[in-house]
Amino acid sequence: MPNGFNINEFLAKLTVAAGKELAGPFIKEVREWWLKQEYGVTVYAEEAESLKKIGEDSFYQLFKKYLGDHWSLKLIKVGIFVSRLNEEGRKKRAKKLCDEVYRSRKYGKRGQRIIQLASTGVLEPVMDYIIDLKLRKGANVLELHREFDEILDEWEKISVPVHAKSNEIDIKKNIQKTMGIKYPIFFVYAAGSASRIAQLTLAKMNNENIFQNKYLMFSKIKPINNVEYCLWTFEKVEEGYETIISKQIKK
Amino acid sequence: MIDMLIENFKRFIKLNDDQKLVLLKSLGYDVNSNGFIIDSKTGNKILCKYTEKPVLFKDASILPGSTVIVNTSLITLSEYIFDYLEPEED
Repeated sequence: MPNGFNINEFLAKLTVAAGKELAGPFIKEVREWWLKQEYGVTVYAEEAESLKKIGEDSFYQLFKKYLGDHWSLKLIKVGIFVSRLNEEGRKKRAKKLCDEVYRSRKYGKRGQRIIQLASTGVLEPVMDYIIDLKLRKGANVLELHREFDEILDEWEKISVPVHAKSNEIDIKKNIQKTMGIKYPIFFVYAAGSASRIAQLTLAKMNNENIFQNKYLMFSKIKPINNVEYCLWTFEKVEEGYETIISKQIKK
Repeated sequence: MIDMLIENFKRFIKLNDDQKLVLLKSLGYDVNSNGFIIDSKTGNKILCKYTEKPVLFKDASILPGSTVIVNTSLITLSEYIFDYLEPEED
């Protein structure tokens, strides 16, 4: 390959060669270019670049590092990409990608669940929770695999979506029902006009001490394109768990 | 599990059909009358590494790593990136 290689000039050569018999030296030049492994050819070049960038992201890299060889890792970038499309308001493309995963069936129900979580904006917080299990509790790779798979399997039971038409009584009832399962973690999420009623209900429940000594509540509120996305993560208080205040009282 | 990490990779590009066919022919492939990519020597249909299905010319991505020809979808591209472009963590 000559120095000062220009990709556009090279592609123009490919165009000129179209429909003609390919000469030996030309084939050699194309093969030499290909063997340099600098470019990948795809109709979704822009989206492939986005996936590649997600793959370089430190959050994804950390998740990958802790999850080791988990089956989800090849798919999860698509999930993150779907989340980003939704955040950018590109819902039509996001929906098309979701349908693609549902149709492919390669990753089964758990794969579909990853995409479902992504489309409701809770995939990354769930990934964050898994990372946190490693960082805070030193969970090993098998425990992390089991926890992530279980969250995917049990999602319907351990998540409470709040819709625009939800009322305070129903939200409270659903949360208490979910608490009754006593799973180590559950999630409440809402977006847009549903955020207000969700926040209000959770604030009231918190004031009524409904979560006290049972679950610790963490909230994440993220405004995207004038839409408020809210996620509350509830972590079960472990046996023997002591808060700073209870420790002080004992002392 | 990384098949073979490609360290020189710069970016993904889109080729028009003429350019894509010239590239394929130069690399020893062709397209049969039904639009599937074949090995130009044997005439056998090329199977996608990830979907394990024959690859239509119009749906094909041609990717480095010797030559990886896949049925294009964001899933197969994500799988390819995982296998060939993501460095292993220390």
